[in-house]
Amino acid sequence: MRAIHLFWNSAFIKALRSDTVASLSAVILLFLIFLALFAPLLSPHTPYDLSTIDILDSNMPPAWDAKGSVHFLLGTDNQGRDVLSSVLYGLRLSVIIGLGAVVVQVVLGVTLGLIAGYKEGMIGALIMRIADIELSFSTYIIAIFSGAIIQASCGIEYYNTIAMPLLIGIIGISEWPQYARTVRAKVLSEKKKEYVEAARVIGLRPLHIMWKHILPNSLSPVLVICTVQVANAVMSEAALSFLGLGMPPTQPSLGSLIKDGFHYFFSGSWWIITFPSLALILLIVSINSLGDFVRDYLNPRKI
Amino acid sequence: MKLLEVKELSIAFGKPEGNHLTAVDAISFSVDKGERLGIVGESGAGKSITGFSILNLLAKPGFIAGGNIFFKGRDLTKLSEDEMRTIRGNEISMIFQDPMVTLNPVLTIGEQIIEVILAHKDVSYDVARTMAIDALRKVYIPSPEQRLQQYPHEFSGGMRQRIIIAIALVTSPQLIIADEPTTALDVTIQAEIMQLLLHLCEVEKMSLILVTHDLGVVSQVTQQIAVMYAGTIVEMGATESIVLNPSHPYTKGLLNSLPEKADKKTGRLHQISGTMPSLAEIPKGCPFYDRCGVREDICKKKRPLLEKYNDVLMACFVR
Repeated sequence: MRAIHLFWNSAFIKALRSDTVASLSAVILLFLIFLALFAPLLSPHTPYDLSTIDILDSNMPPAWDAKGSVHFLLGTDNQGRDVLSSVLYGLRLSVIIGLGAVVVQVVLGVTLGLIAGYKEGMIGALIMRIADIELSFSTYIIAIFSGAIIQASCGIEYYNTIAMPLLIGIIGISEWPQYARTVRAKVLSEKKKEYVEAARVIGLRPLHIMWKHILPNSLSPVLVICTVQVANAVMSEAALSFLGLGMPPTQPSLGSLIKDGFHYFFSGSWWIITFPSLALILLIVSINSLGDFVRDYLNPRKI
Repeated sequence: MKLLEVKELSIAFGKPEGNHLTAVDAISFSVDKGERLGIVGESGAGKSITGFSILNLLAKPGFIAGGNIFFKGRDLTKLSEDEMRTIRGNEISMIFQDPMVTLNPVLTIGEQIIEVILAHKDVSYDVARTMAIDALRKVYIPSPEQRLQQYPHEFSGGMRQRIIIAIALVTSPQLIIADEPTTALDVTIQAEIMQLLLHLCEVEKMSLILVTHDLGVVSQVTQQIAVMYAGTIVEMGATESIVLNPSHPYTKGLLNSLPEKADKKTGRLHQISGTMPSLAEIPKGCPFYDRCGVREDICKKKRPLLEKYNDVLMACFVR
């Protein structure tokens, strides 16, 4: 109880509460994450279970339409899947992939950036050149390449079973240089500070100094990049799925749902594409505006 | 055997095999067990890098160009990095100038004291914690158990310097190198910190090398003084002899520029005119030649060596 009280009254939460846009996005984001977490409990149907799908229910409009049914609140898609359930499950996948990819990016980027900053010279230069080369390609090119190569070499069947961890890995690998650059720059400035010298004077090992003294002092810009990158990773996943290189049709993410709906948009079935798109937009906008708030809050030069 | 014996130590900046500038030129001094030595001189005289070279922590491109540093009979210039690490913070500790920046802002002071103990002593975390509390108590930090969980920003400048002293002393080193430990503090705290350092050195029978430009501080704390100018020691001897009866013209000038010696009528302070020669243009003769009031022709041609004069050592031809 005390912990909750302390948290509620902490400087960060107070600042968040006084910012209308940020607190609204926080509420929306928490709601979406809640939906994503409890998707299996909340959704009326299981979109992955093909035996529950009836082709006769296909292309049904939302419940408030005259042709709609109360069983399918947001209508059904061309195969008779409940749109509400697929959106909830898709949201769940998108959130998992977004967060997972950011974890991969942070682990890779921070470790490599830390090494590059602490060990200038050959190793550091090598790491940063690799980062430069990677940055000269667009994320999508790298993701499309690696996705296509793996699809071609493993076969589509196997690809579908490992699609989620694979997407996390691909999106993670294609975005680490941002973190590496930021962390390296921060480490370079931190390691000249006197507390690092003091740590060397008391006889600590370089690895210990790097890990326990320099790293914690270099992490605040990483936090800001993280929030923005979650949104980016979700969008990358949606884009890849939209192009057919992401999640398979049997486990649709928001991107694959948008892709499916896209084909039926002009034939009048607007709901198949609209609801996943709305969910995606809400998710991205709320993450981004929260990210902006975190960036302003952590900015040492804020007014 | 002396605790620390520095012989003909030279420090240079640049490439060992190529171009380099000599910043410290063949200086020798020694510190006995329990003895306190002050190294005095103006900015750029080479005091601080002398301190760092003892711990073999010269920042690049600095390097030890010659000479030996014997600590308890072992030559520190020949030890490996791993062997050096067991000496740093354990047998020789260092205290820095600015307490506002030498503590890591994101770690509690408890973590920072305990990590030194764990790095050097084979004790459990709980024992290390008790040692940390004792160390804080020794430097008069009130309620150390609670203070252990606080971050550096929750302490004042004087308290932080006391914590740094606690970190330096917690492993019971035999030698402490204090690099201008009171320069960044305000005057009332300065005296307090110096008293504390002196008291702890006496109680723990530790030797101290006090690097400073403040003659007042040095005269209160140390038994020996070495006066450095442009990378060389120009005068060295017992504190009393040097402070009461300076021999070298530079030492005389330094003491004469103290505020107490200001001109009675005009109230103006005395000064040593001119500036110290830069590393790139240290003259062949006496480095103090340009600013010296008693210079002679020989001073320009030949470098005076540190030789016995009355009861001190002095590097000057004019006697």
